[in-house]
Amino acid sequence: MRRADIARLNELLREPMRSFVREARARIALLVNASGQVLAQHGFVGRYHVMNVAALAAATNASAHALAEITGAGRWQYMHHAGRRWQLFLAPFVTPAETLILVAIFDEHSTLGLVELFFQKLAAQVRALPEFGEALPAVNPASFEQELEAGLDRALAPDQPGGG
Amino acid sequence: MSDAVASTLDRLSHVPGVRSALIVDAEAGVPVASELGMGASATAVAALTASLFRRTDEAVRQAALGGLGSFQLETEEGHLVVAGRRELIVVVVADRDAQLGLIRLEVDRAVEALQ
Amino acid sequence: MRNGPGTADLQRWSEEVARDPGSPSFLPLAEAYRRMGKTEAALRLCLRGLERCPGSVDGHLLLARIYLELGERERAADEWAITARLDPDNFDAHRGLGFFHLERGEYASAGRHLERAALVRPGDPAVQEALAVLRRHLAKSGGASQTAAMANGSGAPELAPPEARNGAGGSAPAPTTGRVETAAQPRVAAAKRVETAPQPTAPAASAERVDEVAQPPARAATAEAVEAAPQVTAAAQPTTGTATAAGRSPAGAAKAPGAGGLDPARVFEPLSKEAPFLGALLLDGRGLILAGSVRVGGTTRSEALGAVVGPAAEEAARTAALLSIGRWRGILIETDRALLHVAPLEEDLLLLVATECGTPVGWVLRTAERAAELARRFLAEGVV
Repeated sequence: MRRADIARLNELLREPMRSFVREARARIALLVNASGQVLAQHGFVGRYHVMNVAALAAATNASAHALAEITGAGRWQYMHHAGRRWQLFLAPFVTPAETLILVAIFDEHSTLGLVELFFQKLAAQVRALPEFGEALPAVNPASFEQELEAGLDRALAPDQPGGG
Repeated sequence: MSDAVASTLDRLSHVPGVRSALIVDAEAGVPVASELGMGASATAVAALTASLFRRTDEAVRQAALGGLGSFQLETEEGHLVVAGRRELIVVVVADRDAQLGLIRLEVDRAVEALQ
Repeated sequence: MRNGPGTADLQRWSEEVARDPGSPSFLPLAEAYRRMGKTEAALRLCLRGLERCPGSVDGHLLLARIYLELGERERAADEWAITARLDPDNFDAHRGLGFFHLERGEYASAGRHLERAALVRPGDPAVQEALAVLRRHLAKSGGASQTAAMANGSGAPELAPPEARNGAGGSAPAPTTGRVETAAQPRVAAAKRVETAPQPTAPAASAERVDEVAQPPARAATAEAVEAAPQVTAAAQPTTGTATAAGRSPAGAAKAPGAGGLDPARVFEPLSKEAPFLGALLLDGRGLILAGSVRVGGTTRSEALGAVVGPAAEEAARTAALLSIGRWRGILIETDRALLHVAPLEEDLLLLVATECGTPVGWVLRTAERAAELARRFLAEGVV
């Protein structure tokens, strides 16, 4: 669980996320930790959607991880859903501090291969950040909700129309 | 299909000057099969060449020139030859001084074999 | 009675845009923010929406309005120019460009756009007023002013519509005629590309963009500004009155000093004698044609190719860079109808050569080299 330094993380991750979205031609991207706390996002407007996707991404990661362990398949790499118009890419990557999960939504202007390629680059960039270079201390469960909200507020505030 | 893919790649990778040969799913941008030279990444080559193929195809269609058959990208250090129709494309990364005529011939054969 | 969008509308548009940033709802949402005074938010919404929907005419017009409010006139002009490309008869785009050029003392360009706007909406009082002032100004100053007006723009003379050249008033039967003589500063002047319009009703692609040449200081777009514009001494040769035929570069047409007499449309003509050659284009970094033309299957494809080649070339450059195989030198593209070769020329210029399908590749590459020499000569002779 992330400590209360969300504001700084949002700033640090802004450029890597922008670069990812641009290079991979994704429409929407979200970076969350395994607890569903939002660390960075691009393309969302409403809190409602971010919250839902973040929670589901964390749950998907947990399920896939458990499935991989039970079946002896090893670490799971990514999930890809190819919809008729939109495609979803969801993938975890491990840093010394914690496991992070990227959710990317793209359309016909990109491909799974491109998204995967630049996801790897994003993962490498994030791993190189000092803030993700060390294991985190345990967090007080009482502040869990507060930190979730703080993450959402920061992720949505700077670049969004509502924050004008 | 897998025999055709395997033998296609085998022929391509044995052409003098060819560093890497791949069969790529153009829509997903992922490698279907590959014979890679040292240091090459199938993910990167597949993703980027598929994207370039799709973009170029889109461009020529917008210009009302029909569909894209193939393209050949010349760079300072080599050539990228890509050919195919929609679903599967054949990708060859070749040296600067490779025999392009021969490579193009084999690439065309490969595309036919994959139809 | 509700005067504007309500909370429910805003909420609905927000949700639709959240689901899909390219949703048409970005338009009313951005407009709503603009009216609320949240200009920056409106700008971001608009830019994001247009990334997904680059062909949205209303989107570009809204963006132009936003830029105007932010005081960014040149960006507003860019958006009007894009709109005019997408919709050649768009009144707002031509009016906007007309007043923009009027402010800058670019009377030929101003006249062209204002006349086009007047054709679309003859009764618009602002456009009629501006045209009347422009014509009085040109009539008063006579011939010297014609060439002065032409030289006032990018430094490259233009073939103004015959009405303007003759100093006559009245609306133009054809908004754009003749070709732009860009020999003086081809890189700059090519940003003002004028397609011939043989018939009054034929929509000409007035894909005009503000170029980077130093412009005269912006003036208020008022009649007083036009009247007070300084008289620039004639720099270019006068145009002939017959230079209106479609598709022809007229003899004696105005050329800038030092041009060497090179007609940009004919730069690659020496190659056209060889059967497989379909044409060549010299393009700037924005996909605008500096010289040449391409015909495939009897149809001119110059504009379409110019528009699409740039992004493909960018993608090629990106691919080469990311695969670490060095800088790209050229790309040979085989299509169903033609064989194309695209290569970087210098700075951000691109050279495209088109030949018939099935042309030997070696021949194409050699022809591309010859075309590059012709292009370099054209560029060199065009610099004053």
